[in-house]
Amino acid sequence: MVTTQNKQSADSQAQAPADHGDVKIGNAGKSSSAKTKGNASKAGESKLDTEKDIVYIGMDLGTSRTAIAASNGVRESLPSLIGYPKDVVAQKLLARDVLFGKDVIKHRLSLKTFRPLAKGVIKGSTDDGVDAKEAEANMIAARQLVKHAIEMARAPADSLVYCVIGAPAEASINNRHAILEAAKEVIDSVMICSEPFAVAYGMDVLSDALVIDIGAGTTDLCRMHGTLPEDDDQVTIDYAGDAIDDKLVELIKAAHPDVSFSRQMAIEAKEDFATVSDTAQPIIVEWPVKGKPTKIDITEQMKEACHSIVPHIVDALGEIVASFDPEFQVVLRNNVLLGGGGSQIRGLADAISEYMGEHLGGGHVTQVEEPVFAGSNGALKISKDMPTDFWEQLS
Amino acid sequence: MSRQLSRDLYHLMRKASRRTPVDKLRRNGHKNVSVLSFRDVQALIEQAVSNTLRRKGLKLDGPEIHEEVRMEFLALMRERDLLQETVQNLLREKDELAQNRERLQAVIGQVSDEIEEEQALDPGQDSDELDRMRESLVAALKDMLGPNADAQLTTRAVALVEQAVEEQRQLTLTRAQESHQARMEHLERRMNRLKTKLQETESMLQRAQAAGGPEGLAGEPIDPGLKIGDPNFETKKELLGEIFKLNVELREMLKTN
Repeated sequence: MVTTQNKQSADSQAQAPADHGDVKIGNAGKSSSAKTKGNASKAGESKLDTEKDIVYIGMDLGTSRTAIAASNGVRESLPSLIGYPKDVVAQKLLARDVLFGKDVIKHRLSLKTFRPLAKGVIKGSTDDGVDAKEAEANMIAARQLVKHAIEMARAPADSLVYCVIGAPAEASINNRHAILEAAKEVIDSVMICSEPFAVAYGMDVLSDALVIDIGAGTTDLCRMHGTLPEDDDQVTIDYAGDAIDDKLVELIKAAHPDVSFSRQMAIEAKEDFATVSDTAQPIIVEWPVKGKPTKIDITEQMKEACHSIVPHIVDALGEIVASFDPEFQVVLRNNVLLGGGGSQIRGLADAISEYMGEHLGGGHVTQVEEPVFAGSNGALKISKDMPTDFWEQLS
Repeated sequence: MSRQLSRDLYHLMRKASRRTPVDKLRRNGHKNVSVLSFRDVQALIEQAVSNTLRRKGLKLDGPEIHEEVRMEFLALMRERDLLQETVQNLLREKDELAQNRERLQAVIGQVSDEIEEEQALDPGQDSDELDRMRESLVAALKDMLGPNADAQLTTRAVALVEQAVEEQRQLTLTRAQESHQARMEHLERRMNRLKTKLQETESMLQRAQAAGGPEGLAGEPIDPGLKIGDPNFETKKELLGEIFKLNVELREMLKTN
């Protein structure tokens, strides 16, 4: 529904370029207001802008899931998926040119689907072997995803929209450029910050702490010591949600060779039952065996797959702790925050603490509240704390 | 208030309310939150209904009145749900209409190009070919009759060939003109249909936009910027400054690239 509203804005911008010079925008839309602001600030009209409502948005742009939190109370998240109808028939059936999030999963057979981010960055924006055509398609899809996520905040057309986007720590200039380009079409001012930093800022943990952000493609570990994290403070490993999915599929196939299931079915089971806890209830799924729905116990496979990332995370933790000032290593080890969509595995924080005890001589992990929104909540907090003149200078 | 009504009220109010984590409020800087218990809300509703009934000379007692109030409340909630659903449907419809309009505009552009191409076509372009055919037929005829043939016979035969070719030319031209005309008419009809559809879509879109529900959600008034009372004021100020600086540098890098 918001798409329309902003589409309207885009239309009015296209149809009435003269509106750009008018600071009192009314229904001219955000895009117009963004342009207006750019043109008007030199004319000393920013005072008028400050009289408008400002909606602040924090966004966590993740490989698997994108989440936003806005100062108007809207909090939304969606799978980072985009789909385009495969042919005219699909287009007519779906009555849309582009679908996002859960709709893509629902109609995936009729769609050409894109998951534009991989390992935390836009596919093809780095030297990752993706051909130029596919890279361009991913870039366009990523832009549309950012735009859609911002539109989900449902900011009034005549308000100013300021947004902080948490981008992966290792996002390249190209990635950041793509994000900025996508965002500037729908918002008035945008800043990008490191995603793990946003999580830490949101929790007011700015020093002597370690943030683990488990996403789909990567797990980011970030050391906080009272300054903006630099390259040395951040470690990224490829063991995250996707690795668990792969392992889960592999283990179930080995344990139940007769069962027919897709990767998507395994992912759905993981989303419902992911656990590393021994005390968990048996995990029973009803999947077909020779065409007949059959109850299958996948408890052991689920626990093993979910636990498979723990040693890799603890190894990376050990690495990042060991390179820190020896005096503060114990404090750091005992102040580990666990966030990101992948951290919703039941018992994961305790499992990591336990493994740290065995291999690093101790440690304590705390799971953040609302793992899915931890990054976007932090980005929202940054956007609200940021002085207004900083926003105006970047608009 | 009857137990049934009380239970319904409780469930419906829970359904209609929005849940906000306490920590979120704390993070947003709220130190005190006004709380109104369900019992108090219930008592206020009861009091309001009771006062109104008393003024009308009625009393809030007896199961019938309670049941009526309950039904009224349920009806209001259903109405609210329906209204929300209608707004959602309207917004969806608006979205679809806007997409339809874009598609129609694209198709109109294509048809308009086709019309231009068709107009540029010359239906008489086959006449050169017929001229060539006439010349080769006349040459073949003369060749066949030979140099000693009767001049009158030759002239008559050539005249017959020319007449046949001319008739063919007329026939071809007429057919080409008819086909061209038919194609033009088809394209124009299609164009008119598309334009009518576009007009209808635009007026429907206007109506949908007029009834388009909420314009968006405004933010609560926020005093932007870091508060001096924040326990990490100095550190945060420095960090925010660094984030800003990095973003300025990023833009400069993008400008130079």
